[in-house]
Amino acid sequence: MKKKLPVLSKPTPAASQRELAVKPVTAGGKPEFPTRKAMYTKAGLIGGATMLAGGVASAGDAKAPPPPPPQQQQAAKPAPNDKAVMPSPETTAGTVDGQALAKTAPKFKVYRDGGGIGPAEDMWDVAEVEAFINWTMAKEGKLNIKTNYKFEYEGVSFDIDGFDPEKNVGYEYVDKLDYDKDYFTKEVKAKFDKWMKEKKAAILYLEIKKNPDTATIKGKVLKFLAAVKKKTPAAGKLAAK
Amino acid sequence: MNALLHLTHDCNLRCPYCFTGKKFDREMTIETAKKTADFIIEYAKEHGQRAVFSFFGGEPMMAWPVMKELVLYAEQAAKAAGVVALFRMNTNGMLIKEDHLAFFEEHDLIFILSIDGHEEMHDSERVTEGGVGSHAVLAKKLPMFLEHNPGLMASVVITPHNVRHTAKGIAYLWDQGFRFQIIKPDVTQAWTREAIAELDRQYTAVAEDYLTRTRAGHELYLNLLDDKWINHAKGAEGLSIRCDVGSSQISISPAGNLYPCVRWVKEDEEGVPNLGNVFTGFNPERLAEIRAASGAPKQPCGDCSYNDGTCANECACEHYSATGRIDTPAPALCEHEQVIVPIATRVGNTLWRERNPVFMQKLYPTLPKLIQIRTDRNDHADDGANP
Repeated sequence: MKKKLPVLSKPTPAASQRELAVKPVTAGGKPEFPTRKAMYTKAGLIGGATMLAGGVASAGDAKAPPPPPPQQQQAAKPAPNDKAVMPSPETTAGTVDGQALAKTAPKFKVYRDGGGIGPAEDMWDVAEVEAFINWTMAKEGKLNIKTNYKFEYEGVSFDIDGFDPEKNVGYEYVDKLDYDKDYFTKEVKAKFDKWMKEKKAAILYLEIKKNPDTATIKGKVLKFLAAVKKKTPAAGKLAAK
Repeated sequence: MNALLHLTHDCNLRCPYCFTGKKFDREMTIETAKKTADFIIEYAKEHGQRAVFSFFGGEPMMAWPVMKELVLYAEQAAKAAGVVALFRMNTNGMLIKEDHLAFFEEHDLIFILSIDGHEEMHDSERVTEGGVGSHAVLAKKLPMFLEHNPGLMASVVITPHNVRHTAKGIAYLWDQGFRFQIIKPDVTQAWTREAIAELDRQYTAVAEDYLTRTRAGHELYLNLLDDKWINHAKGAEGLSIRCDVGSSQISISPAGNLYPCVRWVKEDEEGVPNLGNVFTGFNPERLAEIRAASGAPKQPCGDCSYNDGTCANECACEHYSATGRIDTPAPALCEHEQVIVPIATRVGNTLWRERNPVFMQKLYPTLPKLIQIRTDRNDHADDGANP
C-alpha cells in the first residue's frame, strides 16, 4: 500500500500568498562555469596526471588541446624527488598489514552532511583517509606498513597510525576531528625531528588543518619520503630506552 | 548524526517570524540531557557518524547550566565511545558574556548568530517581549564575538516586512567583519507581488555589492550565491547539501521526544507525530514513513528546469509549515528561487569569466594545491621531515 504523505488539516500560511503561484521554469539559464569533474578532467587532474601550469587557464576553453596521457606527462617531465621514491615496475611495492597492495589507491570521500540549522558541514571518515595514506606510504616508499602499531622509544609511547618496524619509517595522521592531536606536543614533534636527523626513525606527522584531499596528502608523503631517502634510518627494531 | 537540541521553550526575544512555537518556561532536565547525549552518541557510533550537538531553542543560552553540563558529559561519553562530538549553537547572542566565550573556546563550541542586519532591519522583527528592539545590546557585543571567532556566521531572516532593508542590512554585516552569512526568506508569510519585486531589487543590490567585495579579494560566503555555485560545481554530489529529515539529522524536544525537524518541535501539541524519544528510541514505522515522504518528488516541480539541485526546494518541514504538505513548496519559495537563481548564475558567470581567484579557489579547490605540490617538488625548497 502506498504511504500517505503527512497533510495538515487546517488553513496554511501559503493560503495568504494569493498573488503568487508555483510555476515551473521551462528554460532557466545554466551556469557557464564547469562542474568540478569537467574542470579537473580538462585540466588533466583526473586519472593520475600531473598538474600543468596552464591547466587552470585552459580548463574552461573548449579549444584547448587535451592533456597528454598521464604516462606521457610523467615521462616528459619527471619530478626530481619522485625519482628517488617511485618504485620501478619490476620491484614489488610494499604491503599494509601483510597484505599486497591493491592496484589503485583506496578512495576517501569528503561529503556534506548535517546542516539542519546553518549550512551543511564537510565530513569524512578518518579510517578511509588513513587507508589512503597507508597505501601511498607503502607504494611510494616500498614499505611494509603495520597499522596502529605500538610504538615505544625514548619515552614516547603511542599507537602510531602506520609504521614499518623493519625500516623504522611511518606516519601519524591528525586532522581537526582527531582527538590524538593533543598528544603530539612540541616536545614529541621535536623528538620526531631528532630521530630523523640521527637516522633512528622517520615519522611523518601529517596534519591536515582543513579538509583532507588526496593531492595534498600525496604531496606531503612524497616530500617526506624524499627526505627519508637522504636520511634513511638504520634498519632493525628500535632498541627500547 | 546532527541532533538539534531544544534545551528550552523559553526565549528572551519575541520575533514574530519564529517557527518554534509558544515561548514558555520549560527546560530539558539534566537526566534527559544526559540520556539524550547517550542516545546521540550511540546512534553515531552505530552508523559511523560524528555526533553533532546543535543547541537550539527557544534561546539555548537561557538554559546555560543544562547546556554546560551536557557538553561536559557528552565530551567524555563520546571520547569513551570513540566517537567525534561536535558542539554547535544557534543563538540571539544577547546573553553571551566573556566567560561563556572562554567555555566555547575550550570545548570547541561554534555558534551561529541570529542577527538581521543593521538596526533598522534587525529591530523591525527582533524585539523583546515588551516590543523593544534588541540591536543596540547585540551591536556592543559584535567586536567581542568576532574576535572570539573571526569565522562567525550570521543568520538573517527576510520577511515581507523587512525586505526593503535587505541590501543595507547585509552590507552592514560585511562591514562589521562577518564573512559568512546565511540568508533565509520566511516563506510562510504573506508575500505579495510587490514584496517579491522589492526582493528582486534588494538581491540585485546585494549581488553587486558581493561582486565588488569579491573582486577586492574578500573571501565571503553568502548562501544565496555560494550554495548555488557549489551545488552546480559538485554536480550530482552537490545534491548532498540538502535537508535530510529523519536520516542524518533529528530534533529533540526538552522532554526528549524526537522530531524530524526543528519546525515540528512544539511539545507534542497539534497532533504532530513524533518519531519516538530518547528513552525508548526511534519508532521505526514512523521513521520509515517520514524518510520516504521526505525523499518523494515535489508535486508541482517535476518539469522545472531548476529542479536539478539548483532550487532550494528540499526542506520538507518548511513545506509542511507553509502548505501543510511535505511534498508541496510554498508559492513564495518558488518565486524567491526564480529571483535568486538568475542572479546567482549571472554573478557566478561574471566571476568565472574573470577567473577571479577567490571564486576559483572556492569552486575548484584542488587546482592550486596541485600547483603547490609541483612547485615543492621542483625547487627542493624544504627537505624537512614534517612538512
